[in-house]
Amino acid sequence: MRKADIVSAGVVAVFGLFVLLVVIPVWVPGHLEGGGYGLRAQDFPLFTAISFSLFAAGLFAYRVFFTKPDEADETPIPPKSWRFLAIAGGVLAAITVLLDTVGFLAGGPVAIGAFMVMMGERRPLPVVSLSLAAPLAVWLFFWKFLEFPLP
Amino acid sequence: MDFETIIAGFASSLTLANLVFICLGVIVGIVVGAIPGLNGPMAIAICVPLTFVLDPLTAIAFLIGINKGANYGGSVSAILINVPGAAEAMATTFDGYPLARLGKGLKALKMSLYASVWGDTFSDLVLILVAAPFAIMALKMGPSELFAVLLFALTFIAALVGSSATKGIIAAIAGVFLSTVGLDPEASTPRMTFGQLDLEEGVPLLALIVGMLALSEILIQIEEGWRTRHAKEPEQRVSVFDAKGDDRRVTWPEFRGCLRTIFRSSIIGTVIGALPGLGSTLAGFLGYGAAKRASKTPDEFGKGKLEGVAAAEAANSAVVGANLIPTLSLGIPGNLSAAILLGALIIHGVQPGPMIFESHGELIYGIFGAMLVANFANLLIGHGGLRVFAYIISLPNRYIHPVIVLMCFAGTYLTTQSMLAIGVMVGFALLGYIMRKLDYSIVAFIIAFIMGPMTEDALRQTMVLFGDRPTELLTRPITMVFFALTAYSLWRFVVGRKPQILAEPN
Repeated sequence: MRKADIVSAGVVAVFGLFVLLVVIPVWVPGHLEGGGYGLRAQDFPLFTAISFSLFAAGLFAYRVFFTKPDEADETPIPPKSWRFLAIAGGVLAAITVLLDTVGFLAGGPVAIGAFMVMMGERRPLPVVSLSLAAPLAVWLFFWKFLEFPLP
Repeated sequence: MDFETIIAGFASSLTLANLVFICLGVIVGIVVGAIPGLNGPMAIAICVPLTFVLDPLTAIAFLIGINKGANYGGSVSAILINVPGAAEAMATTFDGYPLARLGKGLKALKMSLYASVWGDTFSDLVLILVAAPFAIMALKMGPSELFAVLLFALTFIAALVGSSATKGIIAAIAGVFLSTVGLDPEASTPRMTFGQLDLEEGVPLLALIVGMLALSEILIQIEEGWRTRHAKEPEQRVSVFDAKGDDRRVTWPEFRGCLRTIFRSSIIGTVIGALPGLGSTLAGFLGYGAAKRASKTPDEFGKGKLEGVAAAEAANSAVVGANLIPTLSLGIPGNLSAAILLGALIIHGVQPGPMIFESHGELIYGIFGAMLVANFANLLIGHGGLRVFAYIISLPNRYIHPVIVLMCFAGTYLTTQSMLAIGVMVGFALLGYIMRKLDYSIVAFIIAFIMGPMTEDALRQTMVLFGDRPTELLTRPITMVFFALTAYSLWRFVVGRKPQILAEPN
């Protein structure tokens, strides 16, 4: 985990700096409402951002300076996993866009079908039947029982 | 609180609607718990949106039914296929599966059910007796004491869950940071909303939980499936319904022989459950270990000893009720299930914390009543549906998981009726995947996200109360004690080495 800790702690520390230097100054008001006692809206986010950045920097420094490289130290997210994550992220994003544009009844079957294929189901009959039946059942349940229409 | 409120609360749990939803929850819980890879917190998170149309008591009773059912359900696959449905049933496999291989699977399943219900009921009774006095004590605390307690609880939970204390703490602080998105609680000025009106109410809680907990877990399992598709065959499934005579049931002498163990494990589980951050997996192991140490025949453990199943199940189930002691009286969730239940209470307009017994007394005692009813339902449904549950664990995940993904999308849309929530869910699913791979605790992240607003409120009230003079804190002994405990936890778990037994899986 040494390599992973160095990379992840480094990324978190840099993200923390970005939050401290860019996000909070721009997107959180810095003045104290009413001018009395108490914390400004900025203070608590600042305190937490400083804290996680410091802990991340500490972990980074500890792993770099106080632990030895280990030859057996495997990358916890190998290229294959990044590829998987990209595919999964793409599928999830596509489902989101489909649900937003064509609605649940048309997008749902694509979602079910895509995940069944991703999980290794190749037979057309189960893929088609579950892809059609499940979204319809969920849609009817939400519409008729919960009285919340899905998109 | 008067006696009438308590009686009215218990009585309200017995309405037909509540009984139906408790039973429904237990069935959903056992089914989900029995399927390896799915777990109780995941099911509770996905089902929270379905409770929007219910009144608060029915909604929480339904979710509690799921929690209790899932706790028992985990043992079904642990015993029958040697794969715990959830991590807490890990210790159940030690003797459960060997018993099944000896043709006594049905006996093991029944003992697991009896021990689970016993442990659960024991800890519920402790909760009912202890929670209100605990809340009264907590009411005597001022904002500075509350802030110190919350800070200590956050540090303790973050340091204990997951395998690395430092990474747990980073995850927890990041969770608290994220909870500050939205309108500032005092002046209502927007913080980090990036001009999005939908973000003014903060990051949608359920979208975050469903994405991080359910969807990211399914992604991990799909990838695992890709990697091991042609690898080893799963552990051989054992048929339990061919057994005959006494091998099909737990006899009275057998149950009596395990009573002392069940009682001991129930106490262990209750104590562990009342301490935030120590989960039911640890309780299961400790209960099992204690039973083995106390046994006259410790060599028989691990080879199919009924007492081993009873010890593990009573201990891990006793965590469920006790976990709600800090959750209801202080607003500090003991574990992930409690955190999601806390979130569900907030969604239904109930703010947990010391005032809850005053402001929602009838509801709380209704929840206590529902917990006891759920135990009874667990016993009946668990007993009657063994054959069905044993069949369900044989259903392939490739049919179950896609439907769960669809439910995640539909349920998350329901929470805010906007596509932003779905986008947030997808984003946190990917973040959850990366965090799990890199060993950053998603449990600490979620619990801290839920506790964040309460912690900020307590700090802001403290600063107003002390007129921006932090040195005033030195005059508050309880505050100082909890600050010292926080510092000690940081030193003990971050600088020192965390005891391995506390390293629970995410």
